[in-house]
Amino acid sequence: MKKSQQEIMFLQRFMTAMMVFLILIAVQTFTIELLDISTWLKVVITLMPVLPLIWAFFIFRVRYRALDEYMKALTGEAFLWMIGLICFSSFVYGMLAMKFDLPQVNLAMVLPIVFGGHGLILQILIWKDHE
Amino acid sequence: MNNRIKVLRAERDWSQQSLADRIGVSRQAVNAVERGKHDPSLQLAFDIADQFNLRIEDVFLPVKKSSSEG
Repeated sequence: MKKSQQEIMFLQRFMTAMMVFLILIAVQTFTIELLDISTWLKVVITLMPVLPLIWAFFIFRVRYRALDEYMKALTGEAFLWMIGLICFSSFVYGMLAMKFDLPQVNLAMVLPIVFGGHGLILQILIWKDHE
Repeated sequence: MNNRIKVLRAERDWSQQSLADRIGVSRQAVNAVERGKHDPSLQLAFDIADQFNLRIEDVFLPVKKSSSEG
């Protein structure tokens, strides 16, 4: 399928942001594991990978605004589904955690789950409309 | 909302992608409008009708409400 120039530009920018993210994760891991640094510097280095993710968010927003009305509606619905799933599953987990000894869940997983999950749900919604 | 897009496309031998390119939307959008899965905005409806050189009411047909209403 032929991709539009806009889509190619989005992919290039998004992949660049992801590459920067991976590089910063590597820098973060090696710096904290191998170097003896002060606490404030540790905090800064730990949070560095958030910057390319914020950049990726703005890249995604530009793409969203360029979508046609149908794809905008479906993307919105996909995010609504993801918010619902995250809210209800975290609520259920929280309720269970109050009564049972459950393992801790890392909150850093929320972002990749929301963005990855929305893409999956978007494809399901498109498929459902076209079956 | 019902429409005649599929017939009008076939008369002109246009694919969904071809129509989508002409009006600047995705092929999925054309498919969804054509199948009645998505009611287009007024602007998109005008753009589609314009491509066929027809009036909007010649392309889109409102769903008749039952006579018991009103």
